[in-house]
Amino acid sequence: MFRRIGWSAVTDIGTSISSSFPEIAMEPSVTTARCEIVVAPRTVDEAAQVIRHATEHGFSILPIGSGSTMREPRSNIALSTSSMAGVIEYQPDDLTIVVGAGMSIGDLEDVLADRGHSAVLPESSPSRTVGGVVASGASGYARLRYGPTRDRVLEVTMATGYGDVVRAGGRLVKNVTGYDLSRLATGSFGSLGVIGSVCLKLWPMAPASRTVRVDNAGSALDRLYRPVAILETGEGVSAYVHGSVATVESDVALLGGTAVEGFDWPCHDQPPVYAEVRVPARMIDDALVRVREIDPLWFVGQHGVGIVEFGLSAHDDAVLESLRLWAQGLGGSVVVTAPGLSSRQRWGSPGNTIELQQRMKHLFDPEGILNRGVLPGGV
Amino acid sequence: MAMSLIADLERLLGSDRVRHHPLDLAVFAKDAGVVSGHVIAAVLPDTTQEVAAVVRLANQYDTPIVPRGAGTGLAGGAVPVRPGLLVVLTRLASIGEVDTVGRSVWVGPGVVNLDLSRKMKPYGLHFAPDPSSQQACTIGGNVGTNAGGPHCLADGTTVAHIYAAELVTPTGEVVIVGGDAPDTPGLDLRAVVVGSEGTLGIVTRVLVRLMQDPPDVATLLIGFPSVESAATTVSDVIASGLIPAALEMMDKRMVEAVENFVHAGYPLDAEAVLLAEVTGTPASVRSDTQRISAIAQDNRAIDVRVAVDIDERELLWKGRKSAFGAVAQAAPDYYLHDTVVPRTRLVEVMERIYEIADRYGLTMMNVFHAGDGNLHPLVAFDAKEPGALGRVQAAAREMVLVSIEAGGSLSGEHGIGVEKRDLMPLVFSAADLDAQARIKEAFDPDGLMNPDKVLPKGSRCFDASGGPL
Repeated sequence: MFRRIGWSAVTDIGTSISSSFPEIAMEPSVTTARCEIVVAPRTVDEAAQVIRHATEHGFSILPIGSGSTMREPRSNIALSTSSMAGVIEYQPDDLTIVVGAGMSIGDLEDVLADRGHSAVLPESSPSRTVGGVVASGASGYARLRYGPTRDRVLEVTMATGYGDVVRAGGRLVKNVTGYDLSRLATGSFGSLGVIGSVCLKLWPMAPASRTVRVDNAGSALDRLYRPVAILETGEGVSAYVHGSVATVESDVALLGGTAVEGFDWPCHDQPPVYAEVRVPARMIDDALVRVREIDPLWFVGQHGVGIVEFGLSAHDDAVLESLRLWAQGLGGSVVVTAPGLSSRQRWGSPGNTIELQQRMKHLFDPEGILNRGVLPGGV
Repeated sequence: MAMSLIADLERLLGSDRVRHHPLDLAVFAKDAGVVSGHVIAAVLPDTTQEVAAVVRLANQYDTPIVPRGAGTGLAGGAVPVRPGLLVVLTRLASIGEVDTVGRSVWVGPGVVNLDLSRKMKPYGLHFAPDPSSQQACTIGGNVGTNAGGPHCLADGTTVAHIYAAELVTPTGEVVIVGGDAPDTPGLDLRAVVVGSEGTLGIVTRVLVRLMQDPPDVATLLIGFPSVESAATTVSDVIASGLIPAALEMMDKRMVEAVENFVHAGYPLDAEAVLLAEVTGTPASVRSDTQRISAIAQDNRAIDVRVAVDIDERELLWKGRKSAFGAVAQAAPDYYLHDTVVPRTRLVEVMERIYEIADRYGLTMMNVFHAGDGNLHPLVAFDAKEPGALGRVQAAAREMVLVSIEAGGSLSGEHGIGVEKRDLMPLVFSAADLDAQARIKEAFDPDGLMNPDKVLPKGSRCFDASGGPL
């Protein structure tokens, strides 16, 4: 059904898109080698037009933000959100903000910092876009205290795989009006539609914060009231606390460790292979033992959450499969991000909702032009 | 057909768990709201397998199925609009082993909300959503409506407190959505099942998130000379960067009704009161209490009372949670709204809602989740009085429109059900509703699971791509 990728197709697709949409920015693909052309619509309506055009001509589409996560699957057109990158509506007194999907989370946090707010997105990758973070369902280390990113996604506008523009949710901190498509879009990896804008719930940031080195993660988790994070790396365990000055001082005294001011988040280079083992939070110590045995480049374990992320220098099917078998036995998973992996190598076997997932995908992307195969089970 | 379905159900569950006596059917034909429906039979399964078998049987007879918890819903979500089989889940009420490290527990949908938190007390944990009906409503119902409650201001509504759900699909298969481990790969079906009002399947078990009990709590009761000054205080507290555990408002009429009912010591000379709760370490509770008091005083508060002990705190909350019972003194019937508005628009929307009630000559009281902009104007009336219901409904529509014009929505926590279904086009375009209808279709292609709810008829017809209708 899809055109073969080759130089002749580049010319065809480029001509086809530019003659239909002379106003939309377009360039030959450089950063995303697996697409032939990058198209950057300025609005979600334009994105829907491109999707309809692609449907008509049998082109496949890869929605991309910064390109940090999504480099696959091989598609004809990379649909970039880079021209939808501004603040649409900031209501500081209501603690909500609406931004274009292409805005980087670093730029967003800069805007919010002036008012002492945060959207509590992943801390270590400021160049990632809001749309990309929402589409991949990525959360930061502060999820122990603030919950995953999906809990803050209030409204989404989206160009669906069938070429409609839809709005889901609302710019309200509390809302049960209808089926919440914005929550379904979160973590869908662009398989249902291209996100054009997102309304996020914000949190006021506490005046004081500390990073405290502790000996025992479990005891810190028991004794602290709502810590921001308790992370374990090769260097040891740190508890992240915040609140009023009096509160953080009492937390530090309670823990009795050495404290530094602010949040000293772990940082690491982008590894050739990035993986996450996700298990019930009570199993985190076992997961850490197993990850250490693999001897990774680095690792970060999130106590109270149940995620250990780690980097490897090369993909090793046997090692990752053995870890995966153990995690799946506990109801968990191992998710691997590296070039050229199959769906099976990336996600493991799909769960028992695979038929529901397939039907959902088909109803939102009947021609299968958006990111086909990106989800578990090749959905 | 109905009799042979009933006979098959009785073979499956035994006659004592298949109710079809006219008295039973009359009781089960309503929830706590104003809509009533038509029940063929009500069944009371004990296990997931029984639920699945009932669903498959109903499919064979092409009969709609409606799941029901305690029936405390207000929007008709558990009321069969077409003649249907009611699956009552109150007997699935087990509580599993508590995971004190991961802070979660598997529970049956029939567990009563307040019972769950009471049973978690020895572990120093609780389930955060706390609807006013928490003494009666079930966890399954909370999942269905994505229920809220005063303490959802800081902690979020039910969807943030459900890690996984076991679901009997509309075709009778058993699947788990979400999981015990974070971020289950694939589409997050859990997040749409929560809040789907029993239209995507029947939830037979849920893994709930438990929250730590706070080390310290303070509850403040603040009296104001006007509704405006109370509402401005709410906006100012949120804008100051303080998210209290709860921030509730009541107007004078409601305070009077509550005082007569429970004698909680609410100030009768105030035009409005705020009930605020702050939680955390003793140090943060002290400083947050001072900040809220100072903001209230800047807004001309006439009385600030801080509950000194647990008894006083519980008395203040009893006042808030008895509000709907207290209304019965004013009139035999009431109509309760559930719109949400941005918190910055509270003051103007409240003014316009009072103006509408006055214009229609209605007795209106307000008790609501001010901190998240979730309004509950409550109109007390006597349905036997000629023309009363018509006036109430006309005013209701205006109040909804005022909320939507201010950027608001139809429901903050009660759900859409049947009651607000046909108002959905006020908030969503035809394309938006079509997308929502696709979610329903993916789960329930035959449309037998709690049909005619949430989406107005014809929602799925809109299709710009020219695909199958």
